[in-house]
Amino acid sequence: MTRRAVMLLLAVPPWLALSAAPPVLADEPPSFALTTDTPAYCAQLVRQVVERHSSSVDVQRLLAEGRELCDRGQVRGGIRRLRRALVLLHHRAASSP
Amino acid sequence: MIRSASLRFALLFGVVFAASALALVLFLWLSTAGLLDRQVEAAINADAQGLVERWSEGGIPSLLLTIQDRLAENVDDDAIYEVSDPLGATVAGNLGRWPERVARPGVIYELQVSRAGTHSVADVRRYDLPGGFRLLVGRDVRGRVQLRQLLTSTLLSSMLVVALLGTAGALLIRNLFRRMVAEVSATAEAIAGGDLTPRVRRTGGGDEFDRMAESINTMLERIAKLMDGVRQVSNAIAHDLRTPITRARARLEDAALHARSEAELRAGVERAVADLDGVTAVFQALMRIAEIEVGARRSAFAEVDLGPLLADLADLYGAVAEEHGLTLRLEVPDTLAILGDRDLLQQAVANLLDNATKFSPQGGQITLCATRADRIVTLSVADQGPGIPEADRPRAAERFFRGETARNTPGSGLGLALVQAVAVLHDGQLALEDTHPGLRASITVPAMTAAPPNITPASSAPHPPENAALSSTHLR
Repeated sequence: MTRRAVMLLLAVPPWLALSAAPPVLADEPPSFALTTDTPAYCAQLVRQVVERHSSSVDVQRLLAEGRELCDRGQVRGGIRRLRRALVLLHHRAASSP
Repeated sequence: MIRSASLRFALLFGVVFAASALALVLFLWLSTAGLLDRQVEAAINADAQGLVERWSEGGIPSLLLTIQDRLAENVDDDAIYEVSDPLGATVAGNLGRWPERVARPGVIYELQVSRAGTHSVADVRRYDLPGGFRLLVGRDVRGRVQLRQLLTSTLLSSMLVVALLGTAGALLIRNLFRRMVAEVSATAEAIAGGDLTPRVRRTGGGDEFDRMAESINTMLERIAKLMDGVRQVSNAIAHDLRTPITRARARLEDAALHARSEAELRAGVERAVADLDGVTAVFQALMRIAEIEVGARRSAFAEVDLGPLLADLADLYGAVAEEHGLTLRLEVPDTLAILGDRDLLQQAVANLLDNATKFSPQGGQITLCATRADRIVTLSVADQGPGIPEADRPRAAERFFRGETARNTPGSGLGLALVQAVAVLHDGQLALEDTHPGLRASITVPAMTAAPPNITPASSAPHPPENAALSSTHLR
């Protein structure tokens, strides 16, 4: 059996892929939009980071990257960086005497 | 169709193969997708427990603050919270509103959520707080759902491969089984048709089929040998008995037609009766050999001291030898115990002595000897007669076999057959060897392992050889 045939055999048949997906019902309730994926939440996290007045290079870099991504519309990426900045600030606050 | 054994074997293989594959897939599923589900549930429970503790410590304000902090530091970007007041209004969280579907506490619900415009799935759970407040804790499980889909598809695809392999294996086993059975069946049919020569072909692999073929072939060899023996005996009986019966008939006819007096008639009848007695003796000898070969008399084995037994026989046959101008020499220890049947052993040795007497030349010597070496006792009778040609020796103990040198000597060809049957009954054997000149017939039997205790009166007392006279009718 050639490699191509094996790949075809192992490839997911369409009907199997459909059967493996979670069932989508006709009366499925409307999706809930998470409020932590919005530009407003991004701005809120930026404010939280800025208010801590950290001089850490890492925090400042993450703040800049997060703000820039949010401004460019990549909200979830920006929020992820801002959250890292907040975790860093949290750890430093916890470890400082 | 289900009556086909090969099909049943193939189906059994297929079922076992499929069950094994299914068990493996189930194990893989539980070890991967199932584990991920349990991890998500554990994370939700741990998270909720921490929040409830905060509620207990500081009430709603503490709970709200904790949720805000956890959302702010949720680097994995998967946390979902919702707190609603008794009126259903959102107090805190990132879901926006309470999902009405999530009605029962303690149950994991799957919720469709939108994340910055992209569709996702979350597992959420409801916890009721005092005062009518409700807490919802969840995790975004889109990654896990994708992994589960991939895993499901892969496992289902592999099941297809397993099904193909299982079918191929089942067909292979079916064909192998059919081929093997067909071979045995064809051989059995040929033999049932009267041809005893076919044998089951061996594969040469030394496997179970090979061993079975070997066993069947051994069995067929044995059957063929037995059939051949039966045929030979039947022919021999027909041939050897025809002469005395014909002779008896001729004597009776002659007496009936030509007897001129009652005395002549009576003499003719008596001669015919003597001929028929010989026929009866042959049948008795055949039946005795058959009885010995069955082995029923083995249950009556007892300790036998060969010393006195052989001495008695030497006394009896010494006189007979003297009549023939022969000498009988006895080389037997005083005591030599074995486990066996006294009468049969006596008859076997008597047959050998009778043969030696018949075939020894005038002035010859017969030697009756018994020795013990290690655990073997050997009884031998040696004469100085013509012996048995080497080519005839392997068949000399067959029923009715008579070599060229014995053609002109009275006998039926059953004497050595009986001796061999007695030897085999005692787990021993009969050996014939040329002594240039002469023949030595030796019976080897196992000796008693322990030293013979007190010899029982039945075996040690002088015992005349009752059957010795009978033995003269069925000798070599």
